[in-house]
Amino acid sequence: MDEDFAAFARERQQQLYRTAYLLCGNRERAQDLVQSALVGLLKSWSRAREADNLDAYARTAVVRVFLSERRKLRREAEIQALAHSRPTTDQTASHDASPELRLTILQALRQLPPKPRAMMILRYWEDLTIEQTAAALGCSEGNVKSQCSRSLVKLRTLLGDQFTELVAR
Amino acid sequence: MDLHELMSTAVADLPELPDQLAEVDRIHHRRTATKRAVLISASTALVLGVGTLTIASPWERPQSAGAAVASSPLSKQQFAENAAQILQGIWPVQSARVVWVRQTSDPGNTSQYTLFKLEEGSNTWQLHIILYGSSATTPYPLVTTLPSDCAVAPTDCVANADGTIRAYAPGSGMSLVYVSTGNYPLYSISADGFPIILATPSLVNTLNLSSSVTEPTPLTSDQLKQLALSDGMQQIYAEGAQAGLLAEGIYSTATPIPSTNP
Repeated sequence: MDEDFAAFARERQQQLYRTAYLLCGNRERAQDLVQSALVGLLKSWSRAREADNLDAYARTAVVRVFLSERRKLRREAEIQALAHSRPTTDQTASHDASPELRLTILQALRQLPPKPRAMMILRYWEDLTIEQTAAALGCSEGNVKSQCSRSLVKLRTLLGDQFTELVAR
Repeated sequence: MDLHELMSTAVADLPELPDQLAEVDRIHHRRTATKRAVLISASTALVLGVGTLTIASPWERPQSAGAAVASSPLSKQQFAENAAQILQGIWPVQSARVVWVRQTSDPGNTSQYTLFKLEEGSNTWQLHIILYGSSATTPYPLVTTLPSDCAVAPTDCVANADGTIRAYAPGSGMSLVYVSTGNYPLYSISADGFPIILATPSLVNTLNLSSSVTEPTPLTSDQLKQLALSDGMQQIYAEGAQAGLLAEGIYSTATPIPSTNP
């Protein structure tokens, strides 16, 4: 294995894992996503290493694997079942990093369709610009703006009034 | 608390991911070690396409000397059945199952003989083989490349207006197959959105060789080898040509491919 690839993968796999986890809400599947993305990256490493922004290249690979992954339905059903097994009255989560808050956030993200969810994660977790997000997902900047706007409104509704500042960004 | 902080909270207690390098290396080697269904193609060769791509017109033509076509005729149905078996044998994922999509409702539709279904576990893809011969109308032919295990795309794969085709690699994200026409060195092949190479000398040589004045002529065995087609794919090409399944061009819902030539 190319030493540069190994070094890059070791350095970035945890961050890719967190992004993948936000995308899919499932640890095992997040691991699969990272693994698939890294395999794809290794395969095209000779040209990928020449990319201006290798981090963006790898991140985009994870997102695209997620969007194209076909076995998600079964696992989504599993995570939905888990989410629905939690108390449903606590929709307005508190600000402390409790398991309930974590689950509520993940549950809210999962209410978004895959592509808008990916947009939100790239924009607000990876802090990409609208232009960078559009490039990563192969869509127009206008599409990113409108989808993110709608997703923010939906998240506000799902997460409750304590997070109204979300839509102020 | 802004959205970034919220998301940070969601991953705060995420356990560390075990080092993936060993597994990534193992998967990578397994894929590359299996017989490669190399699918480098041109309008002088063979293209695996999918989805919205259709054969514009079937092309049947007497074979020329040296063409990679056997002498005895082969029925289209026999070609399809053989091709499914060959694809099954050379597919990089050994658990995959390749079947010919038989369409009894439309027996006159020749494209049905080049349409296959690939099943990998719960995943199913449509696999459409398009066979090209050299052509006077495409003296500078379509150039495209599909990496060995990027040759399968879901049925929603589309050809873009600029002549690019997006294909999805099973398990490894999306690859971009760039289609270009024009004089060398304008041929370019891209993957994953990054321009990578100009046409290799052998491919350029093949393109030059194929700039014939006659209409679609099956490629010779040497030309197929120059295009780095695997033995199995060469056999599929030869049998497809023999069965009269060479096509002069392909069209998508977006734009004709290949575009006009210089």
